[in-house]
Amino acid sequence: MKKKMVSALLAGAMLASLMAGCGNDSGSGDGSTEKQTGSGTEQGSDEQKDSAGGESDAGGEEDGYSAQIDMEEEPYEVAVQLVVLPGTDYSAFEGQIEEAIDAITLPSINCTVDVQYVWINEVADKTSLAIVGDEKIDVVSVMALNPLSSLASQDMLMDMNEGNLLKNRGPVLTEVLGQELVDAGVVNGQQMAVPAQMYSALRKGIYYNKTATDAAGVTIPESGSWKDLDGILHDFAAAAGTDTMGWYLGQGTSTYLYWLVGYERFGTLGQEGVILDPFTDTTIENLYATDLFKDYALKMYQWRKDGILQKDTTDSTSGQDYFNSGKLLALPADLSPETEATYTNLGAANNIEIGYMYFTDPLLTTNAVDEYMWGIASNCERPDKAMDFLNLLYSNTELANILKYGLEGTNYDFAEGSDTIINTNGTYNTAFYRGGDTREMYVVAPADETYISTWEEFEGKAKVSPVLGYIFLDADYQTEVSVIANVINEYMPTLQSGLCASEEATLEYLDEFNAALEAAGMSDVIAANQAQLDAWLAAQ
Amino acid sequence: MNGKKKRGTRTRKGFRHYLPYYLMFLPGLAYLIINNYMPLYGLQLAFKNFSYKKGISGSDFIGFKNFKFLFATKDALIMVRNTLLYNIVWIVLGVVLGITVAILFHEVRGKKAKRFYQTAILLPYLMSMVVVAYLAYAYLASDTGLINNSIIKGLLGKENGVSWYMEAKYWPFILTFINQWKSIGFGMLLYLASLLGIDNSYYEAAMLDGATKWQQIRTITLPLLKPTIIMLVILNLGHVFRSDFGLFYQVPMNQGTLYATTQTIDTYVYRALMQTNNMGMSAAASFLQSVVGFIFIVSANAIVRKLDKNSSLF
Repeated sequence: MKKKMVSALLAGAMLASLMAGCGNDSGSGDGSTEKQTGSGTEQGSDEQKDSAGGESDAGGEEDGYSAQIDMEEEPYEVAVQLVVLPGTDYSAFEGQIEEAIDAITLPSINCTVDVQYVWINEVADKTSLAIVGDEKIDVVSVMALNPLSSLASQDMLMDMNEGNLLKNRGPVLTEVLGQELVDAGVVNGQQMAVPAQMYSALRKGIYYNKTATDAAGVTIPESGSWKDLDGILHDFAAAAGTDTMGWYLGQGTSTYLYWLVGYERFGTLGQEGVILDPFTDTTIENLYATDLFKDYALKMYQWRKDGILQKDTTDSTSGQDYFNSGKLLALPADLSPETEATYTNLGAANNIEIGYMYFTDPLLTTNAVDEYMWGIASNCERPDKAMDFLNLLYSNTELANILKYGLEGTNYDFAEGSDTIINTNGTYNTAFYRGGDTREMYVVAPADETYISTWEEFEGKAKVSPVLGYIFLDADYQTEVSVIANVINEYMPTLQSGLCASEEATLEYLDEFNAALEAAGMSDVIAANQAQLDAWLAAQ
Repeated sequence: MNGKKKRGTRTRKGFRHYLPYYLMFLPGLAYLIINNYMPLYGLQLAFKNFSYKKGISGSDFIGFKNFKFLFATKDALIMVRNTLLYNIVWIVLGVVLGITVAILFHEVRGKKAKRFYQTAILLPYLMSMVVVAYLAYAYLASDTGLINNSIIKGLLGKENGVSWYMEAKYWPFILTFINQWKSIGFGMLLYLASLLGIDNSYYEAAMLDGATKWQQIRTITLPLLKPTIIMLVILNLGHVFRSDFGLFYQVPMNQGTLYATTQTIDTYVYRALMQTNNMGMSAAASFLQSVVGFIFIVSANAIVRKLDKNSSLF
């Protein structure tokens, strides 16, 4: 009898929970969730607008947020995500840095700042968990690993046009970045993010160990095609032996082809298609069904056979570690004056002279701009204060310098006789931080005063992609995109690491791969993406 | 009337008598409600197009759409097959090996030897799967691994080693070996606890009657272990649609070539949703796992109840 009662009670409890789950209980009193959603609902927005509008008579209900900052109210604390390298811990400086920032923000925009350091490998999870859990988060770092398409599709960001927020509270930001760049953060007519960096142009290429190529008597041209790597890597292998690897793909999970050819990709794996040459044709294709990828897969098979690639595909050592220790010849990269300065500095620290080979001209693409952006979380209580912070970031160089370089005397010192060139001591590395007016910010030695003009010149030469600013909204295709990603994760490492038994086996495996992609709905996703793109282009 | 009064007084007395026990039960009850029942509210996520702006209750209801990705390709069939087969084999192996080792352990008389064996056999259970993955790698790496270098090339004199991380066919055995090596210590402990509860007089009587060791095991040990075996099997069946993520993701080093035998529902969900970060689809996968586990538990218990009513869990 007791057993029956326990069973009945358990079954009843589970049934009740399930019913609760299946029912449409929008009217139920779910305290925590409703509180979280409040800021995003129309009612919530109106409340925010009211509070903002009430700060000054300059604004009004029609204009949304007031253009004036209320300096009399209780200071609001803006929580800002700052993405850093995994394993780093800045808790020792955090208090001092926040104190220094508050000394700027309090008198300027009447707010304090809580800097939230987030490891790059955790940024997507931490962002979504913070928003769904209604934790304090205001300014979100939008980047390749926390992509705008995903954040926008799932309503994690606030529309910065709502209540004329960007217009009324972010005029300096818009002026410094320029309208063309700012528009790159528009998704489906809503300003979901703003680019973080003034100069986003990049060129595809490699950086290589020039010390090693000089010793081996191999000359690498300054520019060429990725296919030229074939001869270079074979020459190097013949001259230098097997002590130094020519090319390294890790576990083959990232498509290295992305850094060799200037295509626009949708999704970090190209799971929503690619535009091979956006400057001539805006057709979206399945990358893995193109001749380009076929050539790449065959080349990787050849390189494996010829001993160019690393032997062990389970090796989890990073390519950068191999490069720094002189065991790897070259790595592919997005190159710009900024990244080149970083690689040159890294090389110098490891007694390696760095050389560069470019495969494209400077390009300003959606992928390059989307790499670093700022968004405002959908659960942000005071979007006006978050925007004030962003606006100040682009008008107050001191604030931007503190976030990027830390504190003078603690994390960096000025080079002798200069008040703009600094020497960092490695205690504060914000490799993924972008923000501020670059033209006015400090420059890290050994770069000199010509650094900014070089960068401006590079940016000026960049070819602007006709699809700059287009984002595919994949909300209706989440099932297909997930399954496609799984198929790519399954097949691509084998092809990219050249692990098939022969050229014929490689081609057969590639066919099987594409059949699996088709079965997963690749064509449907690409067709939907193309339709959205065509509509977007027509609206431009 | 008088009888009712008496019963009421007895109930009150009974309640007063058991009050300390009820109070002791409260923290556990609170834990169960907070940890196990309140999160059930989130199950609705599996049927909704979750929007961070609208929240859980405000998001749109989309029926079973979130479950679709679990059955969308042939990979789905492979992952279901792998998850179920591995679990069923491991449950059977776990019972057989756990009991065998527990009986052998029970026969060890020396205190020091007992302590040594206990520590040695339990140690793998306490290891993190990341450590286990690197231990496996130390043995299986194609160039530097112990098996290829010392055994296949060294002892057998063969020129080429085996590419363990490129051939899916080896992994059912490797994963089974690692799973049993890691979990056998804990399984053995559970059976040993039951063995220690068996009255020695049964064995003494059997010995006087001239029973051999095997006869003692067959006629005394195993029948008396039956309730423990049934309970553990039924509980394990609740996890039959789940898999140890670390074992299936870390140990094979996430090698795409091995997916045919290493892809399970947990790794599939992780790989698929790493790109989209979709809460509804994650909830759907988890919900399905719970439902399948629940069905397995109820069915297994029903079968046991039919065969032997006293041995069933509920």
